[in-house]
Amino acid sequence: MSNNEQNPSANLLAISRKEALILEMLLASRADMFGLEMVEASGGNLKRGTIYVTLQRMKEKGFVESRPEPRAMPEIGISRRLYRATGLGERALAAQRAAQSIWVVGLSVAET
Amino acid sequence: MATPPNSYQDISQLTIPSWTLLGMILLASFTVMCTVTLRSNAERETASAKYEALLGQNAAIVSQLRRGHPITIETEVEEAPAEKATTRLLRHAVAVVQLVFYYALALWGGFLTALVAIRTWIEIRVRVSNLGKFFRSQRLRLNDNLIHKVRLEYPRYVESSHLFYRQPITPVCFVVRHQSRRIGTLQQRQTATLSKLVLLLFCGLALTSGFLFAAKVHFTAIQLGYKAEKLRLERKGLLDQVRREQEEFELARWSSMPEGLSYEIIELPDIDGSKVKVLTESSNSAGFKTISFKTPSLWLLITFGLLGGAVAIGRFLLGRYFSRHIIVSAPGSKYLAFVDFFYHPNKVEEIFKPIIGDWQHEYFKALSEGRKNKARWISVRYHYRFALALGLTHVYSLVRTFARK
Repeated sequence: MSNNEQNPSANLLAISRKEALILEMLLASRADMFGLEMVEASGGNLKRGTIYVTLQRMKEKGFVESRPEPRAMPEIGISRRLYRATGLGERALAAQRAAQSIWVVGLSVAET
Repeated sequence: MATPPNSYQDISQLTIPSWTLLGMILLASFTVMCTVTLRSNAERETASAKYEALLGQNAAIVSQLRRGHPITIETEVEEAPAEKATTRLLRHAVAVVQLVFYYALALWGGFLTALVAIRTWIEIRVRVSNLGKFFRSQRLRLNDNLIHKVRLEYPRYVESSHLFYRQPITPVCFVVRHQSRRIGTLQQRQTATLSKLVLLLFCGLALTSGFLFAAKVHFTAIQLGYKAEKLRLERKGLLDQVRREQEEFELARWSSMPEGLSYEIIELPDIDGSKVKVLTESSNSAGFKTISFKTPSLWLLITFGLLGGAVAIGRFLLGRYFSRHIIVSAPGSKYLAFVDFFYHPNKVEEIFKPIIGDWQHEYFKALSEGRKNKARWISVRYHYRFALALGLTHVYSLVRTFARK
């Protein structure tokens, strides 16, 4: 029996490197961010063409939530979306960090 | 939070025809100009040769009359009076039509030259004095009344909310204008237009100069023709006078012979060529008047050219007040229509709309900084990014499907 069959949500709760990076940025900024701001802040790790696919996937998993940008008066152009990390995303990131630290400690113990 | 910058787009339309068509028109015009010039030159040479020949014949007649020698001159075949009258009248009508044509040409040339010069001047002025001032700190926003008005007229565009207004002043200078004058305007230039306009101005000046030169040659030929006609009539008068002198001489000689068979020298009266009476067409048997043909004066042609230029300037100034607003779509709106049709609304909202929003944000930000080439480059790159997002969406769907299995 595979892991997916035992726990269907296990695959969905896995965090990729890009997702972790996005969550870190959102939690560090303590404010809602545009996708473009995240791309510019990532220093080249995130791309403009792929970030929204990643964000949409994260939203499906429940790691982030989004809302259209508020506009004070009718403006032309398409409204962009603001993103923020959810509690689930924060916990998932903390769990991943803990797992990474355990993994690193385990490796160092095995080496010694 | 970043405010979306000014939203407008260059649709790169020029009121002059496309360059292929314009090139064909210019080529045809140059061909016509060359043909007219060559034909006018040939006419002038023919008329000049006829004039010189008649001048020489008349001089020979006058000198032989002074010396009292017998005169032998080749007689020309004279046209019948009716045919002559018809030919003259037709020539007169053609000359009048040509005169009107050349004045109209001067008018049209002045109009076109002034029009192109105005547009070139505007382009140069914008390039020199702008330096990005028009693109900074100027916002274009549509107020509620304007949105309502546009919604009534263009509901589809308003629903997609990719609207902006652009008021074309000239093909080289656009102003995006809000109805309220307190809100700033945006001015956009077409960088490739100056070279086109300079080329067009050069072609227009060359064509106008060529046609005016051809007109000058043509009217010289016509003037030579009329001078030759005067010489022809003068020669006819001289020949009549020669005939009379010969008749008198013969009569005097034969009448004096029976008196003493002694010869008497009779001196011919001096004939001054300049005082020879020139017969005009009004005095001949056909009875039609002399054609008084007036060549177009240079000042009149210049006046007509200036008049055409004034019309062009008036049209330009009036056009600024009566020009229509144009609604065009922002970059990426066609892609949005495409994904709206083919994709789930959730994906459109979460993936594609934010990408296009960033596209427009960066594009208009670059334009507001006066960096048009950067805006173009951004647009090119976002085409690729949009395609990448489309592909990734499909790949992610496939991966998720297989992962769940």
